[in-house]
Amino acid sequence: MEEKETKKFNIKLLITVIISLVVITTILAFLQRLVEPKYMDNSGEGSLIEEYYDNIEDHQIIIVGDCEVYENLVPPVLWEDYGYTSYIRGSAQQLIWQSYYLLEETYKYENPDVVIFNVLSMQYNEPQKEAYNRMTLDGMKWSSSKVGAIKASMMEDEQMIDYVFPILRYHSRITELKKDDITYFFDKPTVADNGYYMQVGIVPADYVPEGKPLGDYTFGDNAYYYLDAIREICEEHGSKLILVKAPSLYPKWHDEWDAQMVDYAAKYNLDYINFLEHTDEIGLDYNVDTYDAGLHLNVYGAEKLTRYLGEYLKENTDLEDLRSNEAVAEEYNQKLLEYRERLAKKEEERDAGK
Amino acid sequence: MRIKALLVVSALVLGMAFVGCSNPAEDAADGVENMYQNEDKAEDAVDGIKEDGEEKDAEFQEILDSSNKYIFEYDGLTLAPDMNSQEFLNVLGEANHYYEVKSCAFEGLDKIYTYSSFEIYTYPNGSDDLISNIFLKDDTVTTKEGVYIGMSLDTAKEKIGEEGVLESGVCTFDGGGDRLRLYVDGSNTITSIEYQSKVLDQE
Repeated sequence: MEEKETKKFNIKLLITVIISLVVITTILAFLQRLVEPKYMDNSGEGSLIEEYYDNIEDHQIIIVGDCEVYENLVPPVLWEDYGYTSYIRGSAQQLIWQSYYLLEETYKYENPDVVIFNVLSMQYNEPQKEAYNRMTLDGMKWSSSKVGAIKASMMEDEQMIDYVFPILRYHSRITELKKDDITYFFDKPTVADNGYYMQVGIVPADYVPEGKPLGDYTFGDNAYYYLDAIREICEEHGSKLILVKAPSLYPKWHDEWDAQMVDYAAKYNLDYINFLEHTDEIGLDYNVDTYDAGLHLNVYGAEKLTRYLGEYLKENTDLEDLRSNEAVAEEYNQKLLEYRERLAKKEEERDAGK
Repeated sequence: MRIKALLVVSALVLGMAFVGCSNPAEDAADGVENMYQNEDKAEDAVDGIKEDGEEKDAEFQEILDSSNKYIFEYDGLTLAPDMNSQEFLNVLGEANHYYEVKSCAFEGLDKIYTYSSFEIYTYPNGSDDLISNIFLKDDTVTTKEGVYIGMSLDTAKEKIGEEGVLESGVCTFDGGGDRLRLYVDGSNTITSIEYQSKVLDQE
């Protein structure tokens, strides 16, 4: 009789433990989601990385890099004018090791014919700032690539556990929650068009400073290590790697930096396009084609640059024009439509002074 | 009884995730979202994710309070790192050129005021802008010690009275809360002169 009572008690205990664990886990997961930044307000760039997972497919072109790619190149235009499918895996101040790991992860899902990498991040040889790390790393799905990216990116005072359980990092936000935290708790609208983050403002580049001098213009070993890694992973997968430097006027792209990229491209037989040397051919007018006085292009400048890139790809790659492929065309024409709708909406907001 | 204890432990575990809010170090590390929103580089420097935020705060204040060893005098005005931009704007007037530098995702971080022979960079600190760097651009201006662009590094060291630390083409003279940095070419001739605040080291 006593044995039966004990057994009954143990079963009750086990059930209680299981229920408690489920309840705790659920509540913690709920709270974690609640306090995590939603990146919808003025910091939509923080949503870029995660949006890729809703768009996984065989893109012909994958573009990796910092704001100089996600604000300067427009995948829907590459489709509209050239029939190329592309996606920008860009993020704010994306460091070169993050570009590598994002590319490594991308190859787990698809095998692009062309990979484009913007070389501005070669200037950084070590991690820079946690806020930027978070904007890239938090959006990645868990994989060995994400672990590698976190390890390579962490500042001295960051810890892996805070990335595994973001609630440990963000819990203090519980007292500063905003409307967005509730509104976008379950779902949020896309902020980008295949990775392109649209800007419609116009702020002329009347004057651009010379930029701070450097004592040593040589790119660091760590930066070169990951540039090699990007080149090698592209070779392994048969992708053509194209190095580019966006036509942003500031921060200054030093001649000494450019020479190193020219040498690197020549050494490994890669294409390298410094768009700053082709601004006239592109048709850029920095009085109307930039939204922040030359740091980034607005949508009008980005469309011009994209068409120039499309022409280059047409002449220098074997990429197939897929506009006659019904299935692809149906999907991409829809994306193009959404892009045009977003543009019209943003222009309306701009003109209304919002 | 054991079941009740288990429930209490569960509640404690749950609570622990938020108990940390009272930890001063964690309080100092304001939510990262704040960093995205406030666009305030100086505050970022103070709130930077460090082991002890209060200590960080004190370090920041110490630098702001410290007197500058290296100062640049121009037209009767003394310019130095961490000085309020209003002070030089009131005297020097509008710059020949003004540029605001935004970085990816953040806004209004740095402002650059270009005058004929020097360039002043500022960083925001609350509602103020403080000087982060001053760059001398040509040999029409000199440092207080008489160092100018085109001078040899050896002569500059004699005038400054210190050896400095030469690394990667830059000879740095530590002034406590600020630095004087002389950029030199292969023949050790000065090509650029910079006054630099240490505040932004804490980013």
